[in-house]
Amino acid sequence: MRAIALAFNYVCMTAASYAGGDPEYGQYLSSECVTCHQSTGSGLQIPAINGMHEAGFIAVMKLYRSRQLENQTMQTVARRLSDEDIAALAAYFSALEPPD
Amino acid sequence: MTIVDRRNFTTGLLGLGAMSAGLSLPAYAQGAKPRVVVIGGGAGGATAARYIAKDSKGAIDVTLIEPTKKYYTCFFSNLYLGGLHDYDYIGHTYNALAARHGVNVVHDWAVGVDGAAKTVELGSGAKIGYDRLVVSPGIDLKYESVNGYSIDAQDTMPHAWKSGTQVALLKSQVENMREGGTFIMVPPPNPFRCPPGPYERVSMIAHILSKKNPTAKIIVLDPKEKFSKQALFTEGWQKHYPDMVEWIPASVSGGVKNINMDTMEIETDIETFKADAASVVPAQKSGAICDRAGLTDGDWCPIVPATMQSRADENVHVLGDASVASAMPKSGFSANSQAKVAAMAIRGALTGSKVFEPRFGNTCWSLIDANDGVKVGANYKAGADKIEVVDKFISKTGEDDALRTATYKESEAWYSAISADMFS
Repeated sequence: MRAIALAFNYVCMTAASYAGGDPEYGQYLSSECVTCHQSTGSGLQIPAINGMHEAGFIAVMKLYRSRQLENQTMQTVARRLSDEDIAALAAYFSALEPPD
Repeated sequence: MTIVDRRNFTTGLLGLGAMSAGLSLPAYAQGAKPRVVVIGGGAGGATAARYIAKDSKGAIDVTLIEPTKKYYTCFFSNLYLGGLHDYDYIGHTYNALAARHGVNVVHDWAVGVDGAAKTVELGSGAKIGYDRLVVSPGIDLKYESVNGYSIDAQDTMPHAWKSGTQVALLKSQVENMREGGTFIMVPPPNPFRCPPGPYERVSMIAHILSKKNPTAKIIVLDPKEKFSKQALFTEGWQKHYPDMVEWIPASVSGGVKNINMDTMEIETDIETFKADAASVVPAQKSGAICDRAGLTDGDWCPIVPATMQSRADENVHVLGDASVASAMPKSGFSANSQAKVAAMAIRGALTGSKVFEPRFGNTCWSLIDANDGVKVGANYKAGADKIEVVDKFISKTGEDDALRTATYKESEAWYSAISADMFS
């Protein structure tokens, strides 16, 4: 009964709908990032990523995903992200104000 | 319908749910503002309150019930013990949740939940109604799990497992030990809040003693045979504190048989140890409100992984240490992650906002000595019955100093970020 009720929470969408990097999906995914990345984090070991250049964001995340950049946390985060996930995150963060 | 795509989301939930179930419409579906009440202002509760209020942009009325006006985090309390941060650094207020996000912050105890009436009773006797309830009370201690230990004994041998004044008391006792004295740590049995915590505590106390009282000893009387990050801690203790730390598993000591608070003696099968200072962390269970609300099965609260809804009441979500989160450890990071999943599900249920596939993550940093940080982490998915590991990692033994320093600095940045994610 509860499982049926829960199932109503989900309606599926085709993957093509978000091909350009959907900021709303990116905002959802970003909630994982902001546990560690502050919006005012210049100079910290974990840098601010708000306002980051979109293409640069995508490139860095793919380097973490392929383990060409070293950081176990970031590699584990990135390996879970599809190209589409990364594009959505890049669209979201690049639209935010960069840190002062 | 099954979840077949990671970008699944809700549309028209209220209509679908109400019609299909043949239920009468709740008040919020008839125009009233939906109400969420959150019990507990820690990593789970504060995050849930903040995200529901922030992301609903005022469409949901959020009330946070938390007895303390200043919340001292358990995470990083060991760094306060080790002298790396002062007490104020780990204390946070709820002012921004109220001022910036419009959360109604009520400083009181939640003493009861009426699931049928959907009300929370406060210590003051007042009742607050809800459409969805978030229960995130953290842990309570089973003092009786250690013979001779009790709530009255906590000032003599502080557990210091809920942060705040207990940690300040423990720090004072450690720093005032006699020269060459013995500190004894009694970690809890599984499952418990912050699996690496007792061993980071040993490390940070060793860090202090190695400077102020270098002939002091630390004995760990563990009820377990192994512990989180064991190889990393063991290596670090040998490197930084040679001959200071002795870890004794239950298979060797037979476990703690009794503690005499008057003489500070801790009795085991092999020896009766005399402590000059000690920290005894008993077995744990979910916060008392969980039992009163009928949410527990044994000591903890079973949940539906995709939404963190209680298995006992679908209008209630249980977060953090109190929940049975399966593969996820009981940590502040886990609670924060679960809160975001629950906040999304609650907004979806109450306002029809999009609900994406839930994702969970956790990283636990530990400090072995100043600038010697290590970490363990994973990300998780919601299985049908359990939260399941997708991918995981752990620091390696033998890492160079530069990497360990970077990992420590990373933990400092994380603390600032998660504090802001909870309280700003």
